[in-house]
Amino acid sequence: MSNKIEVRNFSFFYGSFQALHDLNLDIQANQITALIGPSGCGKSTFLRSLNRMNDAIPGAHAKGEALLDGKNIYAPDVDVAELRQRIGMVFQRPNPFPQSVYDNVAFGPRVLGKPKKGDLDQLVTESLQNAALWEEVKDRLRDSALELNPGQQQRLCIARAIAIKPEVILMDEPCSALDPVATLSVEDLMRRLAETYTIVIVTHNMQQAARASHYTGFFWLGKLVEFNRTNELFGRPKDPLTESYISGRRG
Amino acid sequence: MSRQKTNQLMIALITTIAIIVVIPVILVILFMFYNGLSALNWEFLTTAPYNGLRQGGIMPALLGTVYLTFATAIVSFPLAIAAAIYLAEYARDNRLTRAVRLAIVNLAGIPSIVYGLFGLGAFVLFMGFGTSIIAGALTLGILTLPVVISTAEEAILAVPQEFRTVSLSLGATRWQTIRYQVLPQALPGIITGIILGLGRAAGETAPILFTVAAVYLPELPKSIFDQSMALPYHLYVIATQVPGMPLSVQYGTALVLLLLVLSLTLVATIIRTNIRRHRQW
Repeated sequence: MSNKIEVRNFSFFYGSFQALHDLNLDIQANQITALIGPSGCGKSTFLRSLNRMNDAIPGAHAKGEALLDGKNIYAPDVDVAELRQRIGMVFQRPNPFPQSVYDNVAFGPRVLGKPKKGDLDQLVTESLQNAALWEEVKDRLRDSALELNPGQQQRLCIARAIAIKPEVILMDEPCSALDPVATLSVEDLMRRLAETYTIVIVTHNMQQAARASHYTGFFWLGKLVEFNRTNELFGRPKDPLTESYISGRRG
Repeated sequence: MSRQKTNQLMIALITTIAIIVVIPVILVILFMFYNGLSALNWEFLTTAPYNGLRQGGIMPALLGTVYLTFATAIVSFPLAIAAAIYLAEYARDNRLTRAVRLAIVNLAGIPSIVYGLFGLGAFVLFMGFGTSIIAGALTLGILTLPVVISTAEEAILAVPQEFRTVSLSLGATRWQTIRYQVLPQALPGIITGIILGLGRAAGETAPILFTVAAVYLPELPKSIFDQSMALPYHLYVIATQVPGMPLSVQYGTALVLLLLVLSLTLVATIIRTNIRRHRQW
């Protein structure tokens, strides 16, 4: 087991507002790490700071270190576009581009280089297969992605994210807009993807975190209260705050 | 009077006033058709005028305006798109942005004759293009900028932020995001703006008065450095400068100009309606 991302004394600010306080945690390679906590606790801010999607917000800045394979994500010489190629992202709402299924998956590879037509076809097929969507869309590659149902759209977004061959996939409440059946299919998919990728998922759904993750971090008011193996955190929470949150008495 | 009575009265009043707004438009169109339709025929559209403009058709003026409109589009399109992208995508609120926005507002307020004089000074004389299509197109191009830039900016801003975020998260650069996601989705809206701008430009007289228009030039222009006749100016000339000009020809010319501008606006409206219907987000 190795650390994919090591977070050391990491704080994050929106202007003068401190959203994250001095976080320390290790995200293990090829494991699913879930981040839980009430709304506004900073878990999404943390997730988005890992691929620097917060950079666009005026006044946003980080302190401390977040090391991807030992190299600080916030080092001045980091190429942000390249970083995002290594750390992909899936969002809360299924958000395919208003283009064909094929073009959605091909978008990343196209902007990152000029893949040959045959290679691109291969890559699109593989990505859709790995996202467990291929069988459903193989005859509809030229149709608009918006004609798919929400569950399919979300798996398409996952296919789009893995088409650029990232090492880490960040998922920001990827199931909150899906029905229970689609949610379970995305969770199944996550487990299979963890064989190849490191996955960090933000979720509001504690059952989901308990079911689908290997490690869980509990955030409260911008602090990481507890971080442990999922079965430990849910079975024997060390902090009374964690205990009361996961048992539904706070939050 | 009861509240309900007042309510009904106000609705009736407002509806009546709204209808009154429509009446002048309909009257102008009907008036032009009534007086000008008799002059319209194939020959009128396809022959040059002769006998001191009193006889023949309007072909060189009509084609001149078509050329001029195309040339204006070529001038206006890149400038407006660049400005709109800058304002919508890159600009933070700084001095340059405020200067650009102030310039656009002021451009919209400049009287068209001032554009004409500016075009004469800047393009005809200083840049040495002479009275020519290119000088006219540059002048009209600047005239259309405010409307084209603001519609294009609106179209770009209407593309949901989410698509930009996703595109960036896939490793695309800012420019790739604009080029491959934002612009394709904003394009129909941008084109609408350009057509509306061109509709305005096609009907303008003052800006082309000193920059491109010829009173009588039966041959068509051979290059963008040639003078050309143009429909609005031709109308001005035959309505004011030619004694004994048949009224039906004047109205016929006005009708053609009106139809040209209306059809541009109509095309823009159709595109806009289509976007609204097919917008999928």
